Amino acid sequence: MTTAPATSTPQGYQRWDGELGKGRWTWLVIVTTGIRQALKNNRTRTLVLTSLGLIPGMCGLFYVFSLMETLLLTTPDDQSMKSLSEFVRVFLGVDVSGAAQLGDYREPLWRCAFFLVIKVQMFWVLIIVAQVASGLISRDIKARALPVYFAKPITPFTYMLGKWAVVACFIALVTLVPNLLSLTFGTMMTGGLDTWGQTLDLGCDLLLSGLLICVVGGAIVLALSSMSSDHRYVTVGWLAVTLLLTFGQKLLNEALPGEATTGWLGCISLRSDILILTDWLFDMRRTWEASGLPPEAFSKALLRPVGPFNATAVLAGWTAGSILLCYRRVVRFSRSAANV
Amino acid sequence: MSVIELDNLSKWYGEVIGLNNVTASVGRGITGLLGPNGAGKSTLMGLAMGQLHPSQGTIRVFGKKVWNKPAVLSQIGYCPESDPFWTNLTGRQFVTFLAKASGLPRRKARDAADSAIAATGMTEHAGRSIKGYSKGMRQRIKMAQALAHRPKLLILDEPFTGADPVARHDLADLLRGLAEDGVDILVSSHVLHEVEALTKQIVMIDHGRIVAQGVLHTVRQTMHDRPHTIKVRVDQPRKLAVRLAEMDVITGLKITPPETLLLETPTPGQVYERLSDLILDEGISVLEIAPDDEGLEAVFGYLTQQAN
Amino acid sequence: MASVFSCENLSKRYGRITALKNVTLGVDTGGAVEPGVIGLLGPNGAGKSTLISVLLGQTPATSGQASVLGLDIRRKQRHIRRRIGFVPENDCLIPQLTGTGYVHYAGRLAGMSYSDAMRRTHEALDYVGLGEARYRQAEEYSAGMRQRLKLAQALVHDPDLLFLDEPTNGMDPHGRQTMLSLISDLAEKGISLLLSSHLLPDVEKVCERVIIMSGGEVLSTGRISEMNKPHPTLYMIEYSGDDGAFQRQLSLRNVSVLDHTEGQLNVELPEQSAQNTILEAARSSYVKLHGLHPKRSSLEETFMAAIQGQGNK
Repeated sequence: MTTAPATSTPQGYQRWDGELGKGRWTWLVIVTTGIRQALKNNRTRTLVLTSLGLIPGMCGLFYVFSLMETLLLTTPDDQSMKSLSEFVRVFLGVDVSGAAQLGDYREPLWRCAFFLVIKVQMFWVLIIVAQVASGLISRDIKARALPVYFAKPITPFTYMLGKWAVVACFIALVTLVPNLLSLTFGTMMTGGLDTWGQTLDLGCDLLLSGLLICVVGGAIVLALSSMSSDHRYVTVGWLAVTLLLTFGQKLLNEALPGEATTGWLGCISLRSDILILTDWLFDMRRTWEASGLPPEAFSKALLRPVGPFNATAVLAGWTAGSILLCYRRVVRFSRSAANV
Repeated sequence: MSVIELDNLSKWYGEVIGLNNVTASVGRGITGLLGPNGAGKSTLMGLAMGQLHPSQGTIRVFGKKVWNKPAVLSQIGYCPESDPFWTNLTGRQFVTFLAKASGLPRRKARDAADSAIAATGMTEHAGRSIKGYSKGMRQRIKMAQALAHRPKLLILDEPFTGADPVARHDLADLLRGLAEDGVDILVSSHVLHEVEALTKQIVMIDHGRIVAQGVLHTVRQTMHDRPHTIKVRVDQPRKLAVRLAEMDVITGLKITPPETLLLETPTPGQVYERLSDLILDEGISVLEIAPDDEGLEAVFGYLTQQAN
Repeated sequence: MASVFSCENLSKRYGRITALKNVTLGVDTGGAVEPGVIGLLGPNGAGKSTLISVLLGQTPATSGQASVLGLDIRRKQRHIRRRIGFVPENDCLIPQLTGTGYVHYAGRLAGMSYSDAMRRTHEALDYVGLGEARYRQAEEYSAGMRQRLKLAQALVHDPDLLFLDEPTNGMDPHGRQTMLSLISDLAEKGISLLLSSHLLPDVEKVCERVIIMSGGEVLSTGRISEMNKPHPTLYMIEYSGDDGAFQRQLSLRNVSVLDHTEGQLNVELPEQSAQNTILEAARSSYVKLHGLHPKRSSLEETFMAAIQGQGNK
């Protein structure tokens, strides 16, 4: 029988013979840490909970619609269904008691509904980004943490990507997540390949518009965050860039005749640009007309027809400029001797 | 005649103790105020400056109490650790303003500021805004501000920290010059070797209580519970160690090859009396004889506890 | 012998300011600065932090070449950073993380897996002596604790080379002792260290070699023991007793007295191994000797001489 030889391990520094990874997922580490840091703030937690709280409401509304759709389809002769179709006729101006089904109007109605929802969500995005993202890079600059980051095997792009993903998660939480969840809930009640085809289509468009907001909003706020070491100035800058431009656009729209604001002058405000592109993606005008719904109802709620080219150019310019500015600032503050 | 006199002085901030029943006196010339972080040095300086009011006991500077007495305060110059600047001022404006605030009339304040700026070697930078100053320049302009109104007592909080060796050398020369002119200086610093080079008078506090005061060498002699360590470098340390072991006053011996012998004794004087004879009689060649733990760093280590 | 770092004509300009001027290090020792603890000294503004930034790749060099651990700084920066650790001078906390969280994050940024990083985090924090405090918010730490935390984050991925910029800044004497002993222990375990500091006695205690810089240039490099010119025949004597008799006895033995203050004499011996003559002189004059100090120039003197030498050019 052999016994293990006695050993004693002196304390003091112990070396490590493990392996370091390739660094492909380091940006994810930055994301998770950033989200955890953000959630430590009480106000952020309240905003997040509020956003989550609205989701069931939204899902419920779409669920009700598809419930109505199914009921009208299966039991059209029921007394309550008759009053329901009367309600629909008054509200929307369409006749669903006959050959036409509520389901035929689903696509245009839902697209418009989501569009209106996105319009409101943009405001919520404004607030949550101001709360979460203004400190993302500025706090690191103030705490002089960047030299520590860039003594590790990461590039400025990894850092920026990680920080962007933090913002994107919160933006997605108030736009993408509720929208996609409502879409799924609303579709669960109905069957048929047609419906699912429409749904996937709409789902893709929602995803793209959500990503658009994430990319543009995220890039701009990161650039602003890298410009100051005080997150309060960044918040002011963010509100200025968004609100002032929106306000300015409104004034222009009032002051100038309709055609003048269909070109570049209609693309000053970031919000307008995003809505223009979302409109283009959703293509509501076509689906509305194709379904036979009255056009007056459409024009009440929605935009003037503006082509997407100018809007895309403006947004691309903002995004590219922001990324470049952010990169330069990050590189500048990664030097350990830099004065903050 | 003591410059600063503390008599059962205590200061607390709510529940937090700053100084606890300190009785000490700071004499003429340069004195080092030493202690670990959080020991109460800043509290003591604040009390000497009249910025803080004692919770109990008294503190007198030049024989008078300082609280609310601008006449006494105008004789004290203070160079703080932090940077209390209005950064949009130029160096000259900053020093002039503070000179005026110490009671000098306008013309005199300007001249005094200029001479203080010259004394700290900042004349060529004084016209620039403080915002553009490097660390060393900020330190010097703070000194200029402390000197401008020609105080009789200078209180300096960590003037050597962060300064490069050249700046420290210049500052030490400046302080020695001022001391020769009759200015009393109280210097608080962690850079013990600089303080030791400047002065042998120390006041040491730890956890708000006085731990030592007086001339370093004498302080060491009063530390009866700590035997002295003497380092002897000879070519045959073991041979010497054997002979030393026969002496009653030797309480410890430690040999570090190739040539170092550390001996421990409560009465170093008696050892020195015999040491030369032993070395010569045994035919050993000596290289060095030096006390090993009488320096400021060693005394500081003995008297203050490790901070957590 | 593995190379630590070397540079050849490395320059760095920011607009009109030249922070590094043709810095060449390590080339003459067969292409490398040898491992161990190397001190980097210089006045403020000498370019020490800039040199470190350039070697770390945080800022690109304007011209010249350099390599760290045998890897070119321009092309292999990621590989270099996996093997080095950096302790910056300033506070560099990442907000709202605990001590553990901070070091763990640093480990994961270096590429460690979650569990590897967690184990090493606690090892590193044990090593630097942060006990229960590691679970508290790092922003609440005292100056000494912050310095140790910075060291822990640099060590978590077990680097081969550590850059330390003023690691004892703001620490009280106890804290400094602790930090210096940690540094010495690291050197014994085979890690090379480049230590930039203003506290010359500290540098003397832990470093074998130094690089002295000023104004963006390297003034001198070498082993401390070689740079501190010993004065083998100069001694300082502390004594108590009859001055006159003692000095007479000394001159009888050809020991020349250079200057004299109360209880102290600076003397020059006739030859290097004549120290015992001092003891004989003391015995003959009934003088008690309590100090015999060989005159060594300290690092401080070497440093000041180098700086003044540059000033004279």
